Amino acid sequence: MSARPAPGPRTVTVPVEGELDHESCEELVRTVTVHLAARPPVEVLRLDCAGMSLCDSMGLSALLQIRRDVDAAGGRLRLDHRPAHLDRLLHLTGTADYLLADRPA
Amino acid sequence: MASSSPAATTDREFLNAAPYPVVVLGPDGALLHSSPSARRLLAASAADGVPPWLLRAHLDLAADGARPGPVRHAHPVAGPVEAHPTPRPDGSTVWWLVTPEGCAGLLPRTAGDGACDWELLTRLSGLLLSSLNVDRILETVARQAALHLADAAVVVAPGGRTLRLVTCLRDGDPAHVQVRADPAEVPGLAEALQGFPPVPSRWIDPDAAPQWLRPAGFGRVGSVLVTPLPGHGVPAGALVLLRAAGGGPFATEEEVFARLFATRAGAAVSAAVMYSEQAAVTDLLMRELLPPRLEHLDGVDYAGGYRASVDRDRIGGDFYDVHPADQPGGETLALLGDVSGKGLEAAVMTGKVRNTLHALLPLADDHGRVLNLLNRALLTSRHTRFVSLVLASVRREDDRVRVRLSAAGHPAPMVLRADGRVTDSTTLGSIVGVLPEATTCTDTVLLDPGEACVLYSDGITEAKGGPTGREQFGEHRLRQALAQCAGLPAEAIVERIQMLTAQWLRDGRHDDMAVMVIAAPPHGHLPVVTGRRGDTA
Repeated sequence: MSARPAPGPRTVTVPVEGELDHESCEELVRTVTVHLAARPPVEVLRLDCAGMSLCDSMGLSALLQIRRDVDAAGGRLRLDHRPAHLDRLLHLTGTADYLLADRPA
Repeated sequence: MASSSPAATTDREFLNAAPYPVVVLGPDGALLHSSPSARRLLAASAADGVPPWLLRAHLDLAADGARPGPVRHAHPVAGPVEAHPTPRPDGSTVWWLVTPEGCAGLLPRTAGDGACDWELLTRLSGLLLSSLNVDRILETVARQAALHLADAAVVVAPGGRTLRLVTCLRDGDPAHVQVRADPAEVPGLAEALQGFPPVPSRWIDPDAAPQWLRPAGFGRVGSVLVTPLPGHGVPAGALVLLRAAGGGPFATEEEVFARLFATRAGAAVSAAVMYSEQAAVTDLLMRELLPPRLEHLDGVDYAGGYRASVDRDRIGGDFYDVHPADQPGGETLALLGDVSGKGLEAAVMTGKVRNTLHALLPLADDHGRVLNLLNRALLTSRHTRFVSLVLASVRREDDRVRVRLSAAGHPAPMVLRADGRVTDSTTLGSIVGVLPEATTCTDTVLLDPGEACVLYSDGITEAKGGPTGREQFGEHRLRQALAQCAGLPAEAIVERIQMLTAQWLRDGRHDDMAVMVIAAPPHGHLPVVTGRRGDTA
């Protein structure tokens, strides 16, 4: 998995590639934390999931952490180009509404 | 050692008498001569020839041409070594190796026949590393020390007021002894147990050695050597070497060798102590987390199987429990879950989940409420760890078994019908412990005699293996496997699933895998009355 910011002033896109599991999830959370700490503040954080080949429970835990962090920073989170397996996971775990909501409830 | 012509060797024979280790290197770095003390020094760092650091310094020197200065090197045993070059007219260079202690303390010869000490030390190190069992290592230390360093050896283990000793006579077997004694009775022992450097043997009056220090069958003590066993940050005990009367005192070389041996022994002992402490913690947690043995309960068969991940963090996040009804005709609550992540953190959360659910048993009528209360108990701002689980409230109704199933972010249980059909329960709900609210929808399943409901963790379906070694076992294979289990007892279904997933994995790494089967006993089945009220059928 690699994470690389795309250019843009207030929107940041972080690609999620490969398996999002216990080995790679910390790096993703760290990358997002760095972006959220940037000034001017990030308004929209996009995780580009097109290259995500797997997401396990630790991966889901990381996505939930990112959602919390983005909410706390007053930004918005988008999960773009979600593969079918990710949608299945979000459905099974009942996290789709929470993770995909535009703003915290 | 590089060979040199006899004539050249004779030429430089006088160097053997030099007060320092000395080597002569040719212009290309070839070893032309080395004094015996230099051979002992160099043999430690290079199998043969010139150690890399010296060769590098030597070749730099040749390129330079300026007046050469000394080169410093940190030797692993001898400490700092200064190498002073003296260029010779024939292009060779004489290197004088100066150590703080001269060469006497460097590399002692063996006590006995002068065989290479380094080989002995290496062999002893190998023996010491062959076990992580503390007692076994203490025995090895005592046995080898008695064999090679003295007439008898006593290893004093670190600990409380009772001294634990392992004693060994030369060529004897080690014996474990416990004595209530003050280590201060042996000069230098109390200090050694605190990690202070050893007292020279000649300062210790052998007659002052107390009776408890002498191994059974050992006569009068001639000399005593006390050496600390340095551990990882803390002393790992002390080694006491005893020589029989008339055997003479310990020579300086022998004391140095004992110190070298003790360094390795101490490292081995403290590694074993740390390992056994860690293993004890892990075992304690594992015992607490081990799934219960399941059996027949209130006219329903239960069976469970758990295979923990073989990874280093071997305590995992899967669990299952069965809580019998507290009154006749009540519902038994069975549950199977999976905490995200692995290792101790997952284990701690697993314990919390199981305890909380146990406390919420009186509310088990309402699965949604139980899950919401559990959600609230687990919710924390510190992390986003969560648990997924399935609750199953089970009650026997005449021949049939009614199961109320509520999944919380967990794969829905599969239902195995008598004719081999396998269906999925329709229950669906959110994970617990991270979202503001936990939601679920409950599904009720009726099991006819011989039918079963199968709860499993995703470790089963996500087990990677098969022909390519990378394919997941998948729900479809689990469904196929179950289809062949129609009519089998609960135990047999669990065993079959475990066998098939084990075959699928072969030697592959895997997560925890848990499976639980709730089955309605087939017609004519006479339950073994082990559970309470098992005879109501």
